[in-house]
Amino acid sequence: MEISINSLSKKYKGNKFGLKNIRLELTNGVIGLIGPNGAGKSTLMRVLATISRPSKGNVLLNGVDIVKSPESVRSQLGYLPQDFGVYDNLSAREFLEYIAAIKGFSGNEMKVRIIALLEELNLGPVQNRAIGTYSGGMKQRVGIAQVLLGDPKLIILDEPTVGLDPEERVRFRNLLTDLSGERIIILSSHIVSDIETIANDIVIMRDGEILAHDTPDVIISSVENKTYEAMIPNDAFDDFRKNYLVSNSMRKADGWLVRFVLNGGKELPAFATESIQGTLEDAYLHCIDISKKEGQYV
Amino acid sequence: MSNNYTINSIYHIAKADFLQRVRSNNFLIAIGVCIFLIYSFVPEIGASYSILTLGNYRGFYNSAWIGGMVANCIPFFALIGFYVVNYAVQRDYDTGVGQIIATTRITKIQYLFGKLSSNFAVLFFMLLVIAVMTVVMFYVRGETTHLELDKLLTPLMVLGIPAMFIVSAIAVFMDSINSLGRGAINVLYFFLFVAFVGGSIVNPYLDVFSVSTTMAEISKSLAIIHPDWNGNSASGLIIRELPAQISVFEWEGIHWNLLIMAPHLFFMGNSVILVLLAALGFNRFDTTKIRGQKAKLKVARKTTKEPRYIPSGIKLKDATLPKSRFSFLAILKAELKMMLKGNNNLWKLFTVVFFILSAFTPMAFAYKVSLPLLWFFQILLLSKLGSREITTRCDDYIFSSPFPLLRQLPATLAASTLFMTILALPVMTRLAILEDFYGVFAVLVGALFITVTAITFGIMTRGSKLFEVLFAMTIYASFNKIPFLDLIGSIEASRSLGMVYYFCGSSLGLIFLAFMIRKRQLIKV
Repeated sequence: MEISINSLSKKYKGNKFGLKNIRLELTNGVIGLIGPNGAGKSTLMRVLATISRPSKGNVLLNGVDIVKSPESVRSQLGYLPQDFGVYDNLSAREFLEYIAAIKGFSGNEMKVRIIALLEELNLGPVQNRAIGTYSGGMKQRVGIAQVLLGDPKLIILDEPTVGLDPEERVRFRNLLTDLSGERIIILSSHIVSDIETIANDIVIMRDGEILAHDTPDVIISSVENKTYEAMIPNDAFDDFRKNYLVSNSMRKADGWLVRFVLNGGKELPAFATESIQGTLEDAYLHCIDISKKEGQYV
Repeated sequence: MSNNYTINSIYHIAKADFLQRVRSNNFLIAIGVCIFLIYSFVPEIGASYSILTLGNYRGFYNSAWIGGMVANCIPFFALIGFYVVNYAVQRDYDTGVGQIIATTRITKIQYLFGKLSSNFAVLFFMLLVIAVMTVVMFYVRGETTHLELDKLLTPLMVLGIPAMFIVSAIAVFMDSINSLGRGAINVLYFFLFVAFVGGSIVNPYLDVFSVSTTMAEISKSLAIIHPDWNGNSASGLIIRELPAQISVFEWEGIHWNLLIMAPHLFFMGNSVILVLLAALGFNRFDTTKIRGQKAKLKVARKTTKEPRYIPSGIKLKDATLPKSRFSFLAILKAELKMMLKGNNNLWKLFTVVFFILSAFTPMAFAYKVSLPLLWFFQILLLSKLGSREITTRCDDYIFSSPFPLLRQLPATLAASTLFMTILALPVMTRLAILEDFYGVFAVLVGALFITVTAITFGIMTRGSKLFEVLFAMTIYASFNKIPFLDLIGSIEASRSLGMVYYFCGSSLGLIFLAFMIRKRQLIKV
């Protein structure tokens, strides 16, 4: 399966752009979209899910333009929106049966798959209870279950791990790993570590444009020999934060243990520092920081 | 707590709520409905219907008479008004704003008075629009250009303001009793309204909504000016053949005195007490105190404790992949299940009782009362059909499923029409036995028209209110024998007008409209 996104733009009223001239080639695997709020991740996903029409450009799925023929993708699509609801009066099982019927699936095979899905997502014991009584995380899992009802070849997950506890996040990541194969899975998350562990392809976005698109290793390599850890005294911490790109800080008895990325030709600080292995989060912050400093976008 | 804080908090609750509502499409539509009503309720001279019928007399279209005709319609505005302002407290539950409010210093009384003020502000605004439209109608229909604003607008304002205040208070009272549920609120108000309207005919001191005040004043004047008048009078939209000779008399308007105003002021005062009473029972957004919620939690606890769940052991990767084979029957069943699930016991009780009544009571009662009421009890079930996907935020993934326009929408339409038809089966069977096949056809068309209207208006407005307002008004109008709104062919005049064919045609037009609007909603531009 291949998706080719060509010169895709989404323009809103008041000359505001949700997407600016996006070009992407996606193949089977897990693609992680990361970017600050308003970067255009959800907009891009909504266009791919055929519920938002772009102002310009096209999206080809195996050569077929899904903007012109949305039905060509809908039968192969599983989509989890960022902000979604469920029918509170139905049980999880009834709700999934309803969505399955809408998607064009019925019969015993579907019923078996629904049971398997509910158990896989740890909803088995509560499957006959009204969804209205579920916690936020349980509702999120019902949302994930509806994505996987058929055998979607294109899975789009907008912030799927929101509301999931750490144990469920691990379970979800394992599920996605199992599913990845002959399909494209696109997911966005603010939790960069989630993306780092699942995705084999990373897209970093800001202000409707793509800043980087590569494998995690290549993206992380951008902060190779630039990531450090230092112990900063309390009274120097505020100044340090203003001058350096801090990706993490932890309060200790004698100051702050700070993880930072050295960029923009800066010198190492006077404090004792130690070079450490960069992560995707470091690389992401580095990438966003550079784009801001270069004044690439207004 | 200072007075300043009290006034300030009430003001801000009222202001926020008022702005939230008047900026919605539903409010604009309600205003549109009012304008249309005023246009219809001031009929052309020589029109085939009348609003104030006085035997062989009619009033000269001066300021007082036009003002009287408009004031005579206050009950309609009181009915619409409730459905415009209800759910003010419920909305704070739904949005979660209520829980934020609950953590502030604001008291229950301040909060509910804030809601009362916003309800009243919305309805007062509606009255102002009606007043402007009344002036317009004076110039459109008047037989004189001599405008006397006091005579034209005083009846509307003096009788309308107390009525709207009372409606505002009733809405706050019912809304604050969370355990009542939306369906019960809608139905209860309708019956309360009908009871007051009926009561005012028997006893003028019960004339909360100004049903008979204007007519009584007009009749009094006419009897003095024309002692030969036979005393026949009726108000409301009445189809009639114009008498061969009609005499015109000039009415000078209501002679206001305390006796006229006493019942209105009395009920207005009691409305304040009603809101204070509401404060006593209001749970201040403590969701653990909601009866429904309690029940759900009880069920939830029960299920959680249940250790008997035995996993099937089916692994997702081992489960056979389902083949895509669309079945309309499957989606129809799913739609029916969803429509009927989660309705409260009160709804079940009323539905069963009126279903039985429509089968075993005398035919005239079953046809003209039981069936309309049985259908009316479905108001909440129907009103959410068109907007359900959007209001529950399921639209994104439902609309991105294959062929949503050709699968899901027709299934919703078919399921709801089927359900309404099943409810009407006893009456339809009895009509068929009586060989009244026109009646059978009319009931079928009525079931279709109601569901189509519910779905189309829901899709159009992305909410349920417009349909709720219009449906309540239609049922009330049918009880008042207004033939244009007789959806089931139970009024002779509607049969002779062939209304069923209009409803049939309108249903097809509305279906087309529903599909067109939904098509636009599927992909956001």
